[in-house]
Amino acid sequence: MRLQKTLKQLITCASLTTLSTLGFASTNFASTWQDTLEEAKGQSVYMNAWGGSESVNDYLDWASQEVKEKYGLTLHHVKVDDISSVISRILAEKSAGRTNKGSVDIVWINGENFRAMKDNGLLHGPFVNALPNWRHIDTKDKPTTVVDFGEPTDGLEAPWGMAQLVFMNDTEVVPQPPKSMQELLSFSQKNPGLFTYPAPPDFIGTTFLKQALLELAADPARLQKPVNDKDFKRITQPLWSFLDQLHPQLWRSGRTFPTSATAMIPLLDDGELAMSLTFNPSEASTAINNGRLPDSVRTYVHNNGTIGNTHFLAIPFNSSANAGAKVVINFLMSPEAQLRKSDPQKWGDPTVLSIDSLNSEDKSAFKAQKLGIATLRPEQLGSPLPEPHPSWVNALEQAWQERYR
Amino acid sequence: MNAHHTGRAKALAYLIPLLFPAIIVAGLAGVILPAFGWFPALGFHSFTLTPWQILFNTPALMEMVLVTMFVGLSTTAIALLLTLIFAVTCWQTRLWRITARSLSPLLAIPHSALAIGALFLLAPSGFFSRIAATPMGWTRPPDILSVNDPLGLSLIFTLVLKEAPFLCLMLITAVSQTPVKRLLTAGRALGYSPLQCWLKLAWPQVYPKMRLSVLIVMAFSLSVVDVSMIIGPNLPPLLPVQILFWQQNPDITQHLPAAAGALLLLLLVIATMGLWLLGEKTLQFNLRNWLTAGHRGGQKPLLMKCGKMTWSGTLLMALTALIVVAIWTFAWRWRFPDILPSVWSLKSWIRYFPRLLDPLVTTLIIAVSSSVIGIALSILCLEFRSPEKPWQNRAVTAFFYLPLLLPQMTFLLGIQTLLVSLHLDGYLVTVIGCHLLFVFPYCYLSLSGSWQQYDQRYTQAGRLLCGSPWKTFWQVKIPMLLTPLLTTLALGIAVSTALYLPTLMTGAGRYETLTTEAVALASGGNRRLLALYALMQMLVPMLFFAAALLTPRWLHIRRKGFSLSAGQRTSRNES
Amino acid sequence: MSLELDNISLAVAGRTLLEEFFLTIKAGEIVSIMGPSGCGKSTLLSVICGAQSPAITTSGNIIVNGHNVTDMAMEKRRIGLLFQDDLLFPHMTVNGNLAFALPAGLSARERSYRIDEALAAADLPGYGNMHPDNLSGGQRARISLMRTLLAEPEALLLDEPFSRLDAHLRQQMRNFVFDTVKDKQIPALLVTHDRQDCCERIIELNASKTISGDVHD
Repeated sequence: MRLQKTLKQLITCASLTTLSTLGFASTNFASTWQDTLEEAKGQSVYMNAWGGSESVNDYLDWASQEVKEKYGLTLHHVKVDDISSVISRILAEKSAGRTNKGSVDIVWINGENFRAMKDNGLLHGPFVNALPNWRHIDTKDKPTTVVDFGEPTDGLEAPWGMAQLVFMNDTEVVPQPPKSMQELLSFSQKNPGLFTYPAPPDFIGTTFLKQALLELAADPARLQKPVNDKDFKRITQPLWSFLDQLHPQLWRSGRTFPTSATAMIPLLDDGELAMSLTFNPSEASTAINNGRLPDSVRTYVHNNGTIGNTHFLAIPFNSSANAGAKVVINFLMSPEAQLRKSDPQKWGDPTVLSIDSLNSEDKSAFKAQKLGIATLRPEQLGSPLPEPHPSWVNALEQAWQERYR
Repeated sequence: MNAHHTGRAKALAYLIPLLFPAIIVAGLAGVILPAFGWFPALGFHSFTLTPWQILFNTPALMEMVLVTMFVGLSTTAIALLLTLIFAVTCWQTRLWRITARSLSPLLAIPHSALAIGALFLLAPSGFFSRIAATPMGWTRPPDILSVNDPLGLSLIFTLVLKEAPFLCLMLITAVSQTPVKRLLTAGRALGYSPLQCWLKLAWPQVYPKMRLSVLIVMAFSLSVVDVSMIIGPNLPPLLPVQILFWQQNPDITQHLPAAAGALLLLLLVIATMGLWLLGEKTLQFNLRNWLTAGHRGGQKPLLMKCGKMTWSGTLLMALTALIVVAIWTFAWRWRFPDILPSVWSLKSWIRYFPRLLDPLVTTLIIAVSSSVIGIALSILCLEFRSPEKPWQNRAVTAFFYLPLLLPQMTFLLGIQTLLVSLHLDGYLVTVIGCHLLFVFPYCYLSLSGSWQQYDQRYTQAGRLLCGSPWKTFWQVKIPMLLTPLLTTLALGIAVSTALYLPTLMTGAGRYETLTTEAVALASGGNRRLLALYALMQMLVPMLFFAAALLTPRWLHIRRKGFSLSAGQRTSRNES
Repeated sequence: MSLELDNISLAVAGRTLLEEFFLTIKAGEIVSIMGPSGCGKSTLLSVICGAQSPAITTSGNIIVNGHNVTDMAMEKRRIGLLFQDDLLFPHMTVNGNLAFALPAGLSARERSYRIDEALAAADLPGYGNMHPDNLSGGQRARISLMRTLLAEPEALLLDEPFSRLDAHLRQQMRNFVFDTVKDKQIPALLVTHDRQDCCERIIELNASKTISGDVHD
C-alpha cells in the first residue's frame, strides 16, 4: 500500500517535471495554448504597471479593449508610482502564505526588481518560451531581451520593449548640445541652471549616475561585476568629484532635484530647463505631438554611446489569473501590439521583435512607420552600452543620498 | 420581538464607539511589534533593535524630523493667527458672512487638489511668476526654489490655505456658543477698543472651544503625505513620506524601519502637541498682567484694514489656485511667460475624460458607501445615546476624535500589517471600512448637533398620532433633519474623496480614486491631465455640497409654490 | 370612554411632586389642572402619555377606557396630546399632517373623506394643500387639534394649548376645543395657567408636595 502510494507520488512528480520542461515542445504546443486560451476566457487580469505616462496609459487602454474583443478577458491597468512597491506586496503575500489568489497578475519590471523577484522565488515560470509569439523575439541582435542587467531571464520574464537613454535639448536655447559628461560639465559652468536630473532612486536619475560612471570610471568593465565594498570608493571617486563640480551649476543650484524624468517635461516646456533626459528615444516626438513640448526640441546621445536595456513583463507565482496573464503577455508581444507601441504618435517604444522574422505585411508596416521629428534613427542612436551589474544600483543610490541629501 | 431588536441595536450603539480605540490599539500593535523586529507575515520572528539602527542611520534623519516639526508648528500657528485676525477684523462685517458661506465649498476641496493648485501658482513657472515676468523682464522662469523647498515653506503655504478656513469654521461655531456680542458691548462700555475687547475678553473664551480642532490641524500637518509629496521638500522628504518610501521598498527588510519610523512620528506628534500646550500655558502666564493692566488701546484703522486684507487675500489665493487649475484643463499650449494659454482647447477633456471615468466611479462608490454607512451608524449611536450619562457621551466623542488626533501614517501602517497578515487587503470592502474610520467621526460630529437641537416633542406627537415609532422616525424625524443629513452626506463624501493613504495602503493598489491618481500624476509631466484630475477632485464634493444646499431649498420652494397657488385658489373660493 | 388615574405618585430627581393621587374623568368631561410652574403639572401629563425619562419615578396605574396602559409603550396607549406649540410637521402639507394621524388600512377614498371632514370641522375647507408655514396661529392650532383627533384617541391631554394665542383667538380656540371634546365624548385633562380656561372641575396643585383634590363646580 505504502509503496504504491510513494510510487504514485513519484510518477506524478516525474510527469510534472517532464511536462514543464517539454511545455514548449511543438507537438503539445497547439493544444496547450488552446487550453490556455480557453482557461483565460472571462478572467480578470490585474497588470501592475507604472502609470506616470499618458502614452503608456493610453496604450494599455487600447490593449485592454483588444484583449476583451479577441480573447474575452478583462485587463485592468493598476497604475503604480514605483513598481518596487508591488514587489514588496507580492513578497508580503508570499510570507503570509498566500500562494494563490495573489493580487497581481502581471508586473512590468526589469533590472534590480527582476533580480529581487527572481531571488525571492516570486516569479511564475519559466513560461515565456511557450508563448506563440516568442518566435519573433530578436534575441540575436537584441541580447538584452534574454539577459536583464547581466541576469539571465531564464524564461521568467517576457521582453516587451527596448529603451535607451537619450538626452533632449531645446535647440532654440542650446543649438550645440554637450556630447559627453565632461562637455556637460563645462557647458553647465558656462550656462548654469539649464540642466538637472531626477533625484535617485528615481529610475532615470540612477541611470544618469550609471551613465556618468561608465563614462568617467577608469575601468568601465569592472561595473559588469557585482559591487564590492573594498573598491567601491576608489571606482566611484571620479563620479563624486564630477557631481560635486556639476551640482552647483544645475537647476536650483542642485539644492533640489525633480522627482522624475516626466516631471522635467513641463520644466523644459517652460524654458526652466534647456535639456532633459529620457529612456524612451521617441518621447520628445510624442510630447511635441501632444502639445507638451515646443517643436524646437530634439534628442541626442553621447559620443561614446548611452545605456540601453529591455523592459519585461512577468507573472507573479501566486497570480490568480495565470492563463489570462499569459494570453495578455502573448498579445503584447504580437506584431500588431508591437507596431502600435513603436508608433511615436502612440508610445514610440522600440520593438523587441526581429523585423526580418515577420510576414511581409507586418514587415512593411514596421518599415513604413515614420519616426517623429525629434527621434534619432537607429544608426544615430548607436549600439547601447550594457547596464552595470544590478548590485550597483543600490550602492550608488545609497551613496548619492548620503552625499547630497 | 420589538424589544429584542431594540436591545440588539442598543448593544451595537454601545459597541461602535468601543471599536475605535480597539482598532487603534490593534493598529499601534501592528506598528510596535514590527518596529522591534517581529513581523511573522514577512518572516521576521525575533525581537531585535535593527530597525531602529537602520532608522537612525538614515541620511539626514535629524533634518527630516526637524523640518516635519517646523512644518507642523508653523502651519498651526499661522492658520490660528489668520483665524484670530479674521475674528478681530471681520466680526459683524460683510466679510464674515461671505466667509461663513464660502467655507463649506472651500473645505470640501481635497488637500491634494489644493496642493496642485498651489503648485500651479507658486512654481517658478507658475501663475505668480508669469505675472511678474513682464515687469521683471524674465524670458524664462527664475531659478528659485519656490516649491519643494527644503524648509517646506510652500508646503506650509498650501496647508495654511486649507487649514485656516477649517479653523475659521470652528471659530464661527465657537463664537455662536459664546456671548461674544455681550462681552464686546461690556468691554467697550468700559472704554476698551474692539481689538482689545477681542483679545482680552472674547478670544480667551473662544479659544478653549477650538483647542481640539487646533490639535487636529497640528496632527494632520505633521503627518500629511499626499500634499507633501506634491509640494513639500523632497531632498530629504518629510518623515511621513520617508516612511511611505520604506514601506514601498522592494527590499522587505525596509518594512521594519518603516514601522520604527512610524513610531518615531507618533512620538513627534505627541511631543509637538505637548510643546504647543506648554507654549499656551507660558503665554497665558506671561500675559496675565497684560490682561488686567487696563490698557484700553486706541482705534487702529490701519491695522484693522491690513488684517481684513490678509484674510481676504487668503480666500482670494485659494480661489485663484482653483481658477488656475480650471484654466489648465482648457490649455493646449501655455508656455512661460504667457499669462493665459496661447492655444485653448477642449482636447484634454475629450481625450482624457473617458479615462477618468473609472477612477471617478471608484471614488464615488467608496465615498458614497462609506458616507451612507457612516451616517447610518451615527444615527444608530445618536438614537440610543443615553442623555442621563453625559460622561459616557463625552467618552464616545473622545473616541471618535482619536483617528483625527493620531498621525494617519502610524496607525494605517499598523492596520495594513494586520490586513496583510489576515489576507484582507485589496478588497473594496476593506477600503470602504478603512475610509469609514475617518468618515464616521466626521458624520457623527456633524450630526450630533442637529440631533441635540431637534425638538423631541415632534417625535412624541408623531408616536401618539400614528402609533408607530418606525413610521414616526422615517416620516417625521428624518425628513425634518433632511438638511443636516444631506450636508453630512456631502461632508462624508468630501472626507472620503480626499483620503489618499487609506486607499493606497489597504487597497493593494487595485482601487484608483481621483486622489490617488492625482497624487501619482503630480510627479509626472502632464499638467493638463493633472489639472483635470484636480478639478474633478474639487467638483465631486462641491457638487454634493451644492446638492445638499439646494435640495431642501428646492423642496421648500416647491412646497411654497404649491401652497401659494392653493391659497390663492381658496381665497378666490371664499370671496 | 374614561381616563382613570389610580393612586399615582411621582417624583422628579428624588423630589416628590404627587402622592396617592386619584382621578377619574368621564367621557366628554374636561378636568383642569392648575398650579404654579414646577408643581408637576406637565410632568403628570408626560407620565400619563408615557414619555419616560429616567429622572422621573412613578407608581400607580393609568387606566384608559378600562384598559390598564401603565406599562404600555407611548404609541400603544391611544392618548392624544396637544402641546403649547402646534408642532405641525413643517415638511408636510396640511393634508399630509392630517393623513399622518389616520389609522393605516383605510381606503384612499375614506382617507380623503375623513381629512375633508376634519378640515371642515376646523373651518378650513380647501386648505389641505397649504403648507403649515403659510397658516395663521389660530389656523395652525385648529389643524393641530384635528390632527390629534383623527388618531381617534381615547383620552386627550391638553398642555396649555391656548397659551401662545392672543386673547381673541384664545377664546375662539377654547370654545372650539371644548365643543369638540363634548361632541366626541372624549375624557380630557387640561393643564393651564389661566383660570379662564377652566370649566367644570378644577384641581389645584401646590408647589409643595401636597395636593388638593378639591372639586370645584
